[in-house]
Order: sequence, then structure tokens, then C-alpha cells
Amino acid sequence: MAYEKFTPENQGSKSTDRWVALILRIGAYGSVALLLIGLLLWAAVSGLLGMRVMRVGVLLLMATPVLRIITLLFLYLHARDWKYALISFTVLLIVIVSSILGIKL
Amino acid sequence: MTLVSTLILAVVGFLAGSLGAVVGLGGGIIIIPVLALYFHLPFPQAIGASLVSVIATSTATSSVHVERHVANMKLGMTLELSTTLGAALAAMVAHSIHRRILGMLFIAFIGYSAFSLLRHMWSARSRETETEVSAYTVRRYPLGLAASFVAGAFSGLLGVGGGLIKVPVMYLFMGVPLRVATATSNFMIGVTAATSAYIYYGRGDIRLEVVVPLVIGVFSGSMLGARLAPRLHAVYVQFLLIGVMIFLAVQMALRIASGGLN
Repeated sequence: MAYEKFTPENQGSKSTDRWVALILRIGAYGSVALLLIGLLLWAAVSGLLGMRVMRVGVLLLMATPVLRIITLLFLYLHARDWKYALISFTVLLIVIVSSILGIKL
Repeated sequence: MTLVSTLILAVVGFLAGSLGAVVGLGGGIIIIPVLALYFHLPFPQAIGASLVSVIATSTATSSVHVERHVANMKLGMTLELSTTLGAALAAMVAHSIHRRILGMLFIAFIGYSAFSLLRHMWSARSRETETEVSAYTVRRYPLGLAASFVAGAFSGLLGVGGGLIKVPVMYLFMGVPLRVATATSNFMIGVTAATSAYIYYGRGDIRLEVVVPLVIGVFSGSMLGARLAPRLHAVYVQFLLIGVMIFLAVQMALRIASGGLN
């Protein structure tokens, strides 16, 4: 791989950074909010309902990094940055294939 | 799942998260031994719980780094090619490795982390912290990919983030400014931890009754820690954390010697 020169300006674009930050924020705060709501429901109302909400929260949290890869894949495709689109796609493939393999093994 | 155990787990997470955030470490290195030693959780479940809290803190803090344009997402995504491979392979073999060996590896990792913290404290006395990031050329991608593979493998095997392996390599050998290296490593940790977390989840090692209070505690603790950090004398917190780490390492060694690690 060739040496690559980066400056604070070309590390990414302003709109790319904004989109990715938004996805990360929704994933982190949204899932923790669900965990809190689920915990309160579990303690005060219904154990079963609370557990369900908590499971959705944990799954959203665990899905956020993959949503972030998909977001960057689309942003790189949109910017016609084929090199980093291919890299993002490969990372996505590794994560999906390994989790399917890992669970089956 | 009882109310008392839920509250205690949330407090443990809060303490680990806030201590970690002040010093710049994830909470995993405290959470895992505490869960294994005092909550008598099987080692894989302690690791699974830590992985999910690592995803939470990495996601929340990197959203700030990305918004401030400090994290280099292109470099991060490139190195994720190998962190994810390392994490997946390690998570797959983790359950066939003897718990005692995993425990000893963990103790070694605590030792390495304590040593890195001490060395960082020593060099921080003289070096000015950089504020402005200037242009830089990233070199030695193969070395970076190899180090990221190792960091990913440690993450999948031990449930830690692995920042202490990647950051020095990016900073010292790849020509990445320290601030960018730290932010980029943090950015990568979410994907790395998620890759192994799926495998732990599939095996049933991510238990809601442990994970939920822990994540809430770690998340709120790290937010408080990040706010407090600029106002605290970090040296005292670093010494406190090193003390806690050494204590936990000794306790784990004793537990392994008596054959009591689940």
C-alpha cells in the first residue's frame, strides 16, 4: 500500500464526519436509553416486558458498529472513492462471515 | 436477576468507567477480573459483558472525536481489515483454551497495561501535549495491520479494547500524531469488539442480567470521567488505577493457583 499523506482537512469530509457522528450518537444514546427504560419496566411493571426492551437495547448497541461500516460504505460510494468503498465492503464482509461461522462452529 | 445485584453491578461499572475515562483506558481491564473474582461469573461471560461495555464507551466517545474531525476514519477502516480478523479468530478459539491459561494471559495483559501507564506518566513530565494537528504521512501499513491483528486478537480473547497496543504503534512507527492515533484507535474499537461480541452472543455468553446494569454504569461513569479529567490531577488517578490493577492481578493469580477460576 502506498504512503498516504493526510492533513486535518483531507482526513475526511465535513459531511461524512457529520453523518458518521450522528449514527454513532443515535446508536449509543438510543441503546442506553432503551436499557434504562427496560430496567425500570423490569423493576416496576413487568419482568418479561422489561427483559424484551433490554434485549432490543443490547442488540441495537451491538449493531451500531456495523451500521457505522454500512454508513461509511455508502458515503464512500457516493463520493466515488472506490478504494475506501472496497475496504469498507471487505470489513463488512469479514464481520458478517466470521460471526456466522463463529456461531456455527 | 435481583435488584441488589443489579445495583452493585451498576456501581462497579460506574467506578470502572469513570476511572478508565480519566486515565484514557477502557474499563475492561477492571471489569473482567471483578466479575470473575467477586461475582463468580464464568470467564467467557465476564469477557462478553466487558465487550458490550467497550462497544458502548467506544461508540459514545468516538462520536465526539469524529465530529471534531480528529479521528482518521480512512486509516481506521483500513486497519479494521485486520483487527476484525484477529478478533474473530480469537473469539472462535477462546472457548477451547483452558480458563487457567486465559487467566494467566489476562494477568500478563494487566502487567503490560500498568507498565505502559507508568511509562506514559514518566514521559508526560517533560513532553508538551500537542494541540494542533499538522499534516502527516502514514507509513508502514503492513506493520500497522500486523499490530492491529494482535490488538484484535487480544480483544477477542480477553474482552479488552486493545488501544494500548495500537496507539503506540500508530504514533511511534506509522507517523500518526498522538491525538489522531488515540481517536482513530477508539474509533476502531467498536467494530473490533462487536465482531467478537457476536460470537460470544451466539454462544450464550452475553447475559442480559449482567450486561445491562454494567453498560449503564460504565456509560454514565465514562461520561463523568471525561468531564472531570481536565480538572483532576491525573497522576493521582493513574496511581490509584495502577494500584487497583496490581491488586486484581494478584487476586487473580491466587485464584488460579487455588484452581478456583470458573
